[in-house]
Amino acid sequence: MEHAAHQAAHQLGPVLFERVSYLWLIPLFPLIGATINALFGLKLQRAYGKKVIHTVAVAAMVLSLLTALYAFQQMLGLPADHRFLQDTRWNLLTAGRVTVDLGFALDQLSMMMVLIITFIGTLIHVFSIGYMADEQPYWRFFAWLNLFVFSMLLLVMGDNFAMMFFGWEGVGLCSYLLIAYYYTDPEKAAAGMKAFVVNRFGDFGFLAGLLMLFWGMGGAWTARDDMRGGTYVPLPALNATAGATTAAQSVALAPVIDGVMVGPTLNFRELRDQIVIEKTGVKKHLQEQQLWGFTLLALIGVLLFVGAMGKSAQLPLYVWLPDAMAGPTPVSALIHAATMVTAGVYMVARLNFLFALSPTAMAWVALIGTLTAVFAASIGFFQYDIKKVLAYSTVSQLGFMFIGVGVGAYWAGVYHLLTHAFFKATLFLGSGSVILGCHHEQDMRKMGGLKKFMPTTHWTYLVACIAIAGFPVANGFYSKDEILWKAFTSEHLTLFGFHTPWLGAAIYLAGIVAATGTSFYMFRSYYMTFTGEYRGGQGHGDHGHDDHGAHAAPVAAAHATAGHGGHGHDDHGHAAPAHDDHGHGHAVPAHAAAHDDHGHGGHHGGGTPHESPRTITWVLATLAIGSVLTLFLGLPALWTHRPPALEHWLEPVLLAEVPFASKPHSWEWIFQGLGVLAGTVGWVFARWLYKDGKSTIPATLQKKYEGAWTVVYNKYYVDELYDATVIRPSVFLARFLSWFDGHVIDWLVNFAGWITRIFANIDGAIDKYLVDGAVNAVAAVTIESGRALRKVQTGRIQTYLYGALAGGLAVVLLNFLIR
Amino acid sequence: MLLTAVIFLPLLGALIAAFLPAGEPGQHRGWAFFVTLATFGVSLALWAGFDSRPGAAEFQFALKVPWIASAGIGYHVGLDGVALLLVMLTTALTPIVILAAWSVTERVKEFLIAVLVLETAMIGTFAALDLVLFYVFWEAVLIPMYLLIGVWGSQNRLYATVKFFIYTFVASVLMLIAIIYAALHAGGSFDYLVVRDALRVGADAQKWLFLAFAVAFAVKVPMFPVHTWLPDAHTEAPTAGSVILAGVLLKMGTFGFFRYAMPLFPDAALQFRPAIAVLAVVGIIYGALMCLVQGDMKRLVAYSSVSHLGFVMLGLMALTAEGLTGGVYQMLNHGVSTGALFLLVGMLYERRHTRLISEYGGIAKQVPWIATAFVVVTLSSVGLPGTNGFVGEFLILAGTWLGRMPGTQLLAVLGATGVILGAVYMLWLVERVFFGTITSDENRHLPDLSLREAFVIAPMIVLIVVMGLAPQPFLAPARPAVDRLVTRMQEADRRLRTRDPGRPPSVGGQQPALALEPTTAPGALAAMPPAGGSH
Repeated sequence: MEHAAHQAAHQLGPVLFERVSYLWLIPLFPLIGATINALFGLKLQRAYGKKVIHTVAVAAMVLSLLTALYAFQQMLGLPADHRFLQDTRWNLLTAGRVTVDLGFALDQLSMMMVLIITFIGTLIHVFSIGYMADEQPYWRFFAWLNLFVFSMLLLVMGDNFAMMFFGWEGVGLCSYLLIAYYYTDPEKAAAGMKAFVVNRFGDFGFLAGLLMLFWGMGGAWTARDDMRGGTYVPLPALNATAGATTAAQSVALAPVIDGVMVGPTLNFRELRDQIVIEKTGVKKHLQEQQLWGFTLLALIGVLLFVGAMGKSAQLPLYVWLPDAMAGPTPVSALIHAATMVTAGVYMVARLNFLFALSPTAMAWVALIGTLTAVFAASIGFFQYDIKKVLAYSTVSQLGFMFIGVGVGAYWAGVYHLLTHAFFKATLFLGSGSVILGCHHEQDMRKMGGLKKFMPTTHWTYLVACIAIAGFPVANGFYSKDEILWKAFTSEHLTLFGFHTPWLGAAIYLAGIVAATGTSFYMFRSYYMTFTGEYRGGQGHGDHGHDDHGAHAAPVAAAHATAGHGGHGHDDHGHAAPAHDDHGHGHAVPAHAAAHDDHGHGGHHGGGTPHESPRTITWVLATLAIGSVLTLFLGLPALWTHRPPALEHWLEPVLLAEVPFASKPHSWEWIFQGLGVLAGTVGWVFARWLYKDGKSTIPATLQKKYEGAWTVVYNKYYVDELYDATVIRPSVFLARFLSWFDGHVIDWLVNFAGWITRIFANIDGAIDKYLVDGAVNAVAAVTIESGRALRKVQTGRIQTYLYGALAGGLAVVLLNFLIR
Repeated sequence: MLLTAVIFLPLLGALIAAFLPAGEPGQHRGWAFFVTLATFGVSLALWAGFDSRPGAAEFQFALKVPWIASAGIGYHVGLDGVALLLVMLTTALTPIVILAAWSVTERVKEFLIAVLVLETAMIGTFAALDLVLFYVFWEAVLIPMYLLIGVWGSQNRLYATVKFFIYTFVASVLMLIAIIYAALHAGGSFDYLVVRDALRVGADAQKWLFLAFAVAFAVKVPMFPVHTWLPDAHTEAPTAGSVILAGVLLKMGTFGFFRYAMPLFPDAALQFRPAIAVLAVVGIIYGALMCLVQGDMKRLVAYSSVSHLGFVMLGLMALTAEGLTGGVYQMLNHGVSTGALFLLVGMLYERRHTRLISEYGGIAKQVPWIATAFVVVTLSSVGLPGTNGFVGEFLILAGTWLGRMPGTQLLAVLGATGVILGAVYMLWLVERVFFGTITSDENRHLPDLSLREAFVIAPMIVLIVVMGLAPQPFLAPARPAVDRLVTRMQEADRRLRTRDPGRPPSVGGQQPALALEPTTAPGALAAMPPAGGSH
């Protein structure tokens, strides 16, 4: 067995790490930026204009990037197996066995993530300067964007589950805030909420998986001496947590085996050491445990993956991501394409040593990834909103990443994460530039011919299309090809307890179909947008970008241009030429009033599209160049006879040994050819059907297969399905319980009260006739005493003074007595 | 003496206030604010002076004076860590409540006197170490609360007050009977420590005693199905009443379980524990579902309290260090977050004189600061990491999961669904009230946060963030008390197991499952199938 020999080759030891004290600065800078803009942004913006706002935000990002680069430089100086920077600030909380440090760690994987986040994040901040120039709550946007980067950095840099969860929820919050950025629009506010709530379902799984893992680690907790802040050492007699009654027992319950602390932990490094070093016996222990009739590790893996499903928009929890496009486009690019949505992939890769122990969990990850990749790609075929196309494309590409990490090709999944960050950011920002150029039009049917108006946007978009379609001149080919190849050769996956070596080939087939589809819908969007004649601007009024649902049914609407009643919330009445120079700082006061509700309409009245300002085009160019250059990180071993650079870099982190079948090299060449073929087929079809917008075939086909088209166009009615199966029953149950609360429980209470009242009435009757005299006497006494007491209130100062004196005496006396 | 001073300072303030002229509301407000602030200041000394090291005395700042010596009743007060935290919560909340009640214009004098008396009663409840003293303070809380709702409440207040009073009073009377019975079987002393150590009753009697206490506390918590007084009381109460009710009064119930019901009758507590835990989980989900269909903001927040306190009870019943610590922390959290929610809802009410959600909508534009504060508090309420809510919920769920009660994992999973529902109803509330477009013209000119209101809400937000990011100082005092309770319950568990040898251990975390001796022969391990290798 090849891998068994491999395993013997390097005996894994504990992680060797380097303590540093500056890692916390990387997330700190964006936090400072966010704080400044959140607290003083409005005042700063009023006093000094928008320039201050974005200067603060971008400066924070640049500082963060520089710090990250410094860390990278330090890491490069360390030997490969020693590249682990650890920065523990203080102990956040300790209760029982649960202990959480405010700790940051950088290994090769999180280093890569941090570089992606800070680099692309900085670029997108710069892009936003031009893109958001017309928005009045400019400060709010940048504050939240910075806050997002802060949370994202926590997520990848946290050295324990709790810190990761801090970031995990933090990015969800920022996503919520940024999707609902135009909160005066109910639809967008609802989209924000949907994102948050769907993610909560995922978090539920994440939390359950985490607790299960913690529980499964068994063992006992005891206070540790290093950096644990808490000086609290439970008395042996009180060592309730460990169940020990003597000090010796207490120590024995927290065994240290070969220098590795064994027991439940939230810390990634400690977890890895325990599991990876076989002598501790933890791995064996975990593998043997069962819960509710399932293998514990499979349950843990699947539940953690449910968390990833939410965050990374996988079936069936992907529904929030397309709606999240309601947010401003830079947000879609940064959060909903390049960084946040990849958190799930990152998590699985980070825990590769854990997932690798359960072929079942891995199979589910790969399977869900495959289904998502195909499913989302098919929805992408018929969308007209350019951002929706990209949204479904993102869902689909995330599926590819999960195929990678699911079959055990961790580095390939992570590499696809990186390449996707570049080309998808390019595509999203390109679409943003298009939307801006077309005066906040998102419907591709009203674009076309933008090639000549927006040259830079055009060629960057084309490069990114080539990358995602999988042609070897750009990065996408290398990551996608590696994933599919590894999927094909994987043979260890297990479903429902059955070994399924055929699953790899099935995944490959589905993957190649999805790849063909990807190429098709991406080039479709390219041709619809950039070639042919410009179809917008003929007095179509201010067109809402999200209202295409209104003309979903009539086929003829495919190329409709005239008179829609919709009005964009996003339509800002900027004059077209104003964008030609610098995007920001122009004509703010003039628009201030009009921006009130984001709903003002029609000031620009069409006009020709225009290229975006330089802050936008430069960013696009940088990202497009990046989409090409990053291909060198993943040149296949087949070509160069040494492992791809990124695989080599990540090897110490992604240490899980997963078996793959070895196939002859010729097969690999053929599969690469098939990958290119898939891209070509998609491209040819898209070109045939959509180039220049002339062909009538799409409309004909659509008419012919009306039913199928409608189903796909309406996204397979999944939202409606959720509404019918989850939302409505919950609300119904809630209503029923509300009725129950008011009519049953409260009725019992009132009934008891009623019974009591009856008795009281009987009692009262007895009272009235029997004890009346006595009562009257008491009443008389009371009235008399009241009359007497009234005399105390004389209005004479002396009387009061006597009273006060008496009171004081009483207090002194009491004091004396008590002592 | 220090503790006694903290207990009675507000009462002293109330006495003096009684002599101030009724026609001068300004003087009353200033005086009451000063008194409560001073009380808070003095209570800080308690916090600073509390020794939370494991070897320290269980009850600190203790003072024991014979009161009715012939009956074995004494004035005995003292604090353990949990009581300390709750006293701090009370003293911190009251000045805020008084500041928030600046807008009360009717019978200001009486209102403030009621609040001051209430504060003394609440602190006394937490500090008492004598069962009769405890009972006196416990019942004394009812009177000012009754007045606050009954006199200063809204339209349907009479029904609500009577319901509140009868509900809690009837349940408490059962407790009084149990107290007397217990004291008679503990050598005739009502002293908590004496009763705890010397109580000698049979298993059946212990069950009844536990039930009597538990019912009184469960009503106060309130646990499903004895919760229906809460929505009514909250809805009708003035803002100050709601804040104190949610912030402190409900904690008296959970505190009662922690301090009295469980340590006094541990064997019975262990027997009823599964039932209580199930009711707690039912409360979590039930309360959350109820929130989904409320049209009245205050009712919604009230039902969310049922859900949140379900979490507290679940944590307490887990009987693990994590769960109990989380439960205690969640008590503080709920006081802060739900208190803040009621304050904010009160502010909206003062502007629009309606609590109906449908009357609002899109007002974030008009009142951005209120909206911001509301969102922050909402996040705390849904337990977002970085806010206090997360720490509590996380520890509770972890503690429940790690516990040894049969089926505890399932309870943890079901309880965790409350986290999802919590996000749904709170964010939906925010969306309906603040987001979207303005639908009602009356909402077009709402004034934003005034300076006074800013001072009311700012401390709450600071607490939310500080308790979320640095929970350690708040957790530390609770630890010895938590450990003691777990130990006590473990002893009881051992007793039950000697009586019934088939019974598995059910208290504390699970047994260490790892082999204690590391395998020294690496060969044996190497023979194991490698990672994931099934072929």
